[in-house]
Amino acid sequence: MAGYILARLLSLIFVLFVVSLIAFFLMHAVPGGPFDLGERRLPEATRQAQLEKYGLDQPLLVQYGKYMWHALHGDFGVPFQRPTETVTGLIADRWPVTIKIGIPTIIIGYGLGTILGVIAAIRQNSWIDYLVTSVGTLGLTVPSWVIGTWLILILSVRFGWLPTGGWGEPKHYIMPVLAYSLAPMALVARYTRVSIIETMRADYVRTARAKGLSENRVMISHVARNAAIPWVTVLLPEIPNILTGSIFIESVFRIPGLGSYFVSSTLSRDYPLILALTLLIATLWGITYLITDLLYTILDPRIRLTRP
Amino acid sequence: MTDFRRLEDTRFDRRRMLGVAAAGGLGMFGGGLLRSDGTLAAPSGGRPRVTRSLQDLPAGAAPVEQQILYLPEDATVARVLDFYIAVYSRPVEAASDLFSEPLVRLDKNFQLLPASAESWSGSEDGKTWTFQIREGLMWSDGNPVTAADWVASFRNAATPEFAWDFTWFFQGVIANWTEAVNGEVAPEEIGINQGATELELVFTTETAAPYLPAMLLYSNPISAARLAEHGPLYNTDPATAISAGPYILTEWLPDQEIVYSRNTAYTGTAPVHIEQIVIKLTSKDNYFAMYQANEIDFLRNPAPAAMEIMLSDESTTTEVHSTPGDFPTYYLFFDQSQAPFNDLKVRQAWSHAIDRDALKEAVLGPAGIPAYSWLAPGFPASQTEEIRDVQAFDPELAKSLLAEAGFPDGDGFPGLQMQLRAPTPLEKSVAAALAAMLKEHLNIDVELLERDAQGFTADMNAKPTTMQLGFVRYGMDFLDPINMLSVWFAGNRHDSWTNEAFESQARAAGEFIGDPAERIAMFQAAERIMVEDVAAVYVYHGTEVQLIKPWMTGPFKEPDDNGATGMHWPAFTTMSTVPFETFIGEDNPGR
Repeated sequence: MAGYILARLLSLIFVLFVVSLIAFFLMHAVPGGPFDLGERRLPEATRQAQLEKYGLDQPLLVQYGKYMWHALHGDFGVPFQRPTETVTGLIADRWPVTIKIGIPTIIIGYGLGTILGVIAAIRQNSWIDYLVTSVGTLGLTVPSWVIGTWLILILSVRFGWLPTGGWGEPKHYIMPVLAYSLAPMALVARYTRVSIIETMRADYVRTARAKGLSENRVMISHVARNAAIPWVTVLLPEIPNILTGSIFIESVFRIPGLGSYFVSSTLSRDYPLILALTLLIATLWGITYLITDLLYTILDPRIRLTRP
Repeated sequence: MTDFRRLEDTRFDRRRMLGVAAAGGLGMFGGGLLRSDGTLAAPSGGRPRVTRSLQDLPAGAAPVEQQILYLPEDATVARVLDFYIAVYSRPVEAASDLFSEPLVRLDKNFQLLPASAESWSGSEDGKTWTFQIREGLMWSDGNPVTAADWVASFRNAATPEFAWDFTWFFQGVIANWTEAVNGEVAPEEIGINQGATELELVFTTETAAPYLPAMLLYSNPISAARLAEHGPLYNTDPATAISAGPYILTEWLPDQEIVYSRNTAYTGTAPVHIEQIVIKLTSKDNYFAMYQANEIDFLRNPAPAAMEIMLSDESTTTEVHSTPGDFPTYYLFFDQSQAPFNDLKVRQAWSHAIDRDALKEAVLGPAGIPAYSWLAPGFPASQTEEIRDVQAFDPELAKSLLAEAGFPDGDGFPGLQMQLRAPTPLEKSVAAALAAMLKEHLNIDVELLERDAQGFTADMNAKPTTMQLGFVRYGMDFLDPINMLSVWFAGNRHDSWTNEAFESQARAAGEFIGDPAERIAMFQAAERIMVEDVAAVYVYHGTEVQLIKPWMTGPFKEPDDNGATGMHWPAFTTMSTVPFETFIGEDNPGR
C-alpha cells in the first residue's frame, strides 16, 4: 500500500508539471497583457519597462523555467492584482475564508443530502420520495447565484434581517451556506437514493434477508456499505470544488475568499496567480482521487490497488 | 454651505491672462475664470486652517459620530490609492485622491479653483508656469508640503523603471518628459522644478501650453520624504500611510473594505464634514441590492432594470440624479488602413445609418443623449447643433453613399464583428441596436463580439491596430478641447485615421495664446474636419446616472448652472469640491 501511495504521489508531480506547462502557455496565448488597462497607448519605453519589471520581456520558456524554479522554492511571485502581497500570502490569507464557508457547506450538503437520500430510498414512491426528488431537481437546475440573489432580495432587501453580504460575523455565514449547500445536497440525495435502491435489489441483499438477518443489519452491513462505493466515486471529487470556493457565491455575498480570484486572475492576466491557483486545484484533485481509491479498498475488500 | 471663496482680483495683465487661458471654454460653464467682460476671477489667497467642531456641521446634519459615508467599489480595481502610483488601479468610482490636494480643483460648474496652489502665472511665451504653493500645508507626519513633494512625485512617475501607467498624459507637454520616459535623459531633467522658494513650483513645457493649469487637476503629490523612506506603496498600509489631504487611510481589509478617516492634521482650505468614508469592495452586480438595503449611500450608472425600479416608485425617483460625468462620447471606430473603411463614402454611409433619436428613445433613456460630433454639449468648444448635419441620420443618403462605394444595398460588403470592451448591459443594448440599424438601412451584417477589457484594449491600442470595427467610449481628463481632440492625433489611440489638416489645426489651437474665443473657434474648425472625414461614427454622449440616498446631502445636490444635480466629475476626490460639500443628514438610518 505504501508503495502504491508513493507511486501515485510521484505521478501527481508529473501531472502537476504537465498542467503547469499547459496553463502557462495557454494564458500567454490569450490576447492582452496584465498592463493593457489604459485608455491610451503607453509609450513603447513605458510598456517595455513594465514588462521588464515583471520579467515578461523574456522568452516564454525562460519565464516558465524561472517561475517553476522559484515555485519549487515556495516563491510563487507577486500577484499583479495585489502588488503589496505575495501569491502565497494571498492564498494563505483568502483560502481559510473559503474553507470556512466550504466546511459547513459540506456538512449540510452531504449530511442532509445523505439522510434525505436514504429516507427517499427506503420510502420509495412515497410522498417524501417525491419531495426529495423534486427538491433535488430544483437544487441541481437553479444556479446557486440565483438562489443567493433570491435570499438577498427576501431576507436583506425586503425584511432587512440579514446584511446583503460581508464577512466577519456569524450572520454572514447564513445565506452563503444556504445557497451554496443546496446543489451538493441535491446531488448527494439523488445519488444516495439511487445507489441504495439498486443495492437493495441486489442478490446478496436478498440472500442476507433469506438467511434471517434483521432489517437493520441488512441495511447497515450490506446495503449501506455497498451503496457507498458509487457515492464515493461521484461525490468525493466534488469536495475540492467546494473547498476552493465559488466565484458566484463569494461574489454575490462579498466573501473575501479565494473563489473570485479564479476568474479575476484570468481577466486581469495575473499570470503568477493563475499558475498558482491552477497548481493548487490540480494538487487537490490529485489527492482527492488518491483518497477515493484508497477508500475503495476499505469499503470493498475485493478491490486491490496493487497486483497480487 | 461650503466654505470655498474666490477672491475677485481686478488686476489684469498678460501673465495672469495666461494663468486662466486654460479655462478657455470654461466660461461656457457659467462664468469660468475669465469673465465675459474681461475681468478675472483670480486664484484666491490663503485661508486660515480649518478647525473642526460640532458647530461646523451644517444645519440638518447628523451628529459627528454618524458622519460616515458608505460607498461601493469594484473589488478588482482597488489596488493602490495614489494617482501618481497607478492611475487605473485606484478606487476612483468610490473615493480617491484624498491624501493630498492637487494644485487646482473644480467646482460643480467646472470652474478651476485654487487648491494647494494659491496662485499661478504663465510666462510671455506660455512655456513657463509658476505655481505658488499655499503656506502652512502639512503632511500628517509633521513635514511641510513643499514644491519638493511635487518634484519627487513627477520624477518618480517619469522614471522608466517605475513604469507609471499614465505617462502618455504629459508626453509632448512637459519639457523632457518624453525623453525621460524613454530613458534618454534622467528624470531629474524633466521640466518640473522648485522655484525661488520651497513653495514655488515651476513647470516648463515643450510648447506654449495655456491648458497646463487645467491639466494639473491631476497633481495630487505623494510625500517626497515618505517615498524615499518607504517606497511608492506607503499609502497602501495604514501603518505607513500619511496624508496632507482631508482624509487618511486607517483600514484596508483586502476584498472587504477600505476605510478613510478624517485627517485631524489637515491644514488645507476646505471644510470637512464627513468623519469617515467606508468603501465596500464588491462586485458591481451587488451595488443595487446593497443600495436598496441602505448599506451604501451612492452608486453610479445603475443597470436599466435598477433604473426602472427606482423610477417606478415616486418615493425613490428623487434619488435619481444625472450629471455630465466626464463628458464621454461613445463611438464606432474602424481600421481605416484597409478596405472597406479606407473609403470615406463607406464611413459616411455608416454615419448616416444610425438613428440616434430612436436610440435615445428606445434604449438610452436618461443615460445619454445623441452624439453627432466628438465634443459633448457643455464641454469647451462643443458645437453639437452647428455640426449636427454632417453625420445626421439619413437612410436614403446612407444607401446611396454605400452604393457609390461599390456596395449597392450592401451587396459584397464583408460581414463584420463589432468588438465591445467588457460591455455594461446598456452598452450591449446600444450595440445590438446599432447592428440592427446597419442591417435595416444598409443591409450589412454585423456580429457583436464581447471582449474582456484587457484583450480589447491591447488590440485597440496595437500599432497597427488589429481591430477592424469596435464600439467604445472616451471621457475627458481635463476641461480643455486639446485633451479630447488629441485622442485622434497620429500615433495615439486610433492612428489608422490620420488627417494632417485636423492635427495641425488642433495643435495650433492648443498652443494658442490670446483671445479665448478665437482659440475655441480654432478647436471647432479642427473638430469639423474630424467629423466630416468620419474619423468615427459618433453615437451618444453618456450622462452619468447616479443614485444618491436622501441623507447623503449637501450643496452638491443643488442644481449647477446647467440644472444638473449630483456628484459632478471627478466626484469624491480633492480634485473636486464635492467631498467638502457632502454631509450625512439627520434622516440617515443610523447604521
